[in-house]
Amino acid sequence: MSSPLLEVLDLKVYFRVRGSLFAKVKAVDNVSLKVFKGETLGIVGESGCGKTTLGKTILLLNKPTSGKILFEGLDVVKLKGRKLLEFRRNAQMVFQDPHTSLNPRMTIAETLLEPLREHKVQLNDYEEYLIKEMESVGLGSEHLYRYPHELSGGQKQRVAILRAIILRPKLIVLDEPTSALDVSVQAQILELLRDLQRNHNLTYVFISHDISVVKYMSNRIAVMYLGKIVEIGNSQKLYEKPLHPYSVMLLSSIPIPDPLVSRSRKKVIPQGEPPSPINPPPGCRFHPRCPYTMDICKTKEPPLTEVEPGYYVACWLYAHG
Amino acid sequence: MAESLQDGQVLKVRDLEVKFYTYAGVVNAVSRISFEVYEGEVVALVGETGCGKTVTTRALTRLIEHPGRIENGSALFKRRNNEVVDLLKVPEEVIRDIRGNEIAYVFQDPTSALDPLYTVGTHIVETVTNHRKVKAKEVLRDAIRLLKEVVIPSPELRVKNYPHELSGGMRQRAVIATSLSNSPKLLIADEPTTNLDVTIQAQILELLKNLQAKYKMSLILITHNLGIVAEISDRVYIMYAGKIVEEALTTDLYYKPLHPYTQLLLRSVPNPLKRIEKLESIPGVVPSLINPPPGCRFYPRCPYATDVCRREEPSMIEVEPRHRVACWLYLKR
Repeated sequence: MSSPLLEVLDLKVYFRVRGSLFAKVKAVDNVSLKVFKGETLGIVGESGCGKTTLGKTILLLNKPTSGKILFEGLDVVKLKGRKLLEFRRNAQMVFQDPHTSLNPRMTIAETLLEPLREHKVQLNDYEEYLIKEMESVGLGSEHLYRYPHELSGGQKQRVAILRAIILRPKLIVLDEPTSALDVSVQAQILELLRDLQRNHNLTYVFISHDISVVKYMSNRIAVMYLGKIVEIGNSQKLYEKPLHPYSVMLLSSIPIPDPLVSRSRKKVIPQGEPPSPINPPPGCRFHPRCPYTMDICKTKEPPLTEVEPGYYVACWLYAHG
Repeated sequence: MAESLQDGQVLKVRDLEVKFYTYAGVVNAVSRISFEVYEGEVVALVGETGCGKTVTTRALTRLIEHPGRIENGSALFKRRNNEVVDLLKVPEEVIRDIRGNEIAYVFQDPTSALDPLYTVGTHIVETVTNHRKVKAKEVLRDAIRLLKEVVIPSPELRVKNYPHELSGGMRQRAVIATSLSNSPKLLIADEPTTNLDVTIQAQILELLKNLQAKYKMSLILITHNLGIVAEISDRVYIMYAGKIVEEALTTDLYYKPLHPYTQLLLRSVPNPLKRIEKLESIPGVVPSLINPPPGCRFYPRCPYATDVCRREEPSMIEVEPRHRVACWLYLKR
């Protein structure tokens, strides 16, 4: 793999809790990761683990509390004016629910023209261009002057995806792009995303709680728990042999669509629920639910250690010293 | 009564038809479907959004509200006292007595299934005292036992909690405890884990499986998640656009799917244990149920569609023992 397109260093995103002076939700706490050109990095975790906050902060839709976000080597947190505009053009987002991410009062044409206007893209014939672009995501030209409510969920998500790629960005953050859709439509959208990635040399950050989907889409996967990355590495390896006890638990929770396999495999039925990110447990945040808790886990936070080249785990079972 | 229940059957639905009379037109939500449930069996009702799976199960205890109407059909149910009744025809008092008592529901969203103004204990007490003459105090003791059964920690305290004091997973457990409070013969779980995280989903599924075996009840599980179906169901009905298109034992369905829709559906779900080159997707969209296409409802999206599929509706035939399908590919003309 080549140089990283995006590098996140010690990123923290804290939110103040209303009605309290000191309490803070540590949505993202000391996260570092790299995203390489042309790859898909999957981010999985349960609701409230900070995966969406991380995705939004990468695109500066949230203000980071501290830390660096390097995009092609530039710290985007410090960017201003033209440079910032250029970053925004190069990094786009697709949201979970196309019903709310599209403006109901704008036609599809208006929705798609907005980014072009905002970034002053000069074209001879906008209509012809939009029709060609719509065909590339499998939308007929008849939808051009329709409103979002006239489209099905899958078609709306196609519009949202097109809006994100119409400026030919380098990085797209996909936040649960298929979880509002039915399985048969989900497969269509996933295939579309893979085609677009190939054709336009895109880099994806793919956020989802559906681990089967993330596995299918990603080259590498980061597992998040309560604002922290607990394991990150090659997706095939992570599936075949997850190292962190939380990843093991998460993976064995996925129902497998194959009755003989799903009934015969060894299962770890998860214990308990994720604690609140306002007052995360000291030490390793997973220790109250972990079957292998040792004394050190309760007091000292495990560092993210490289166990194999490019494969990291944050767990005292694998950390030395 | 024209039809009766066979040995071991708890429920036998024949030609159920539900329509919704909306301003846009008549929606044929459920079109003449038939299915049965045996004692102690886990039956999965599978299909995509809008295929009629929820309407089907709500129709069983006549929970269909205006503008919907149950147009046709019968639903024979064997009550606790072994009396067989037609749920669609019995008087309102009888159905009220059965609902929440002999047939209980667990709905998708536990937050809206619980009344925010009442404690968990009150929910259980109300469910029981509505059906049996018992003292509220006694039920409350029983409520604690039920909460313990659904693995809620410190049930003595939780019984006094209001829904907002519980997490999503705990709320769903409380809903399950409420639905079990009258030891129903048939439990209908409508997407019970859709709003929950996977680790919590695994806990709830495990719980449902254990309780189903312990209480020896029958379970109808509505879901669109084929992973969940593989995990816990004995038998499966696949629904498409208001109709049942295939019925099979779970293993047969996964390894020998007959209907083209089932085949495509199974290939469109990523299996994390397999290396998949390309996901199959089903072209097109589900047809509108206002003027559903004549003939087979799947033909506009079907790769094997022929002329007859467009003209005439295929009937269900048994291709192999306990494996039935409604598709012209298997019907001799």
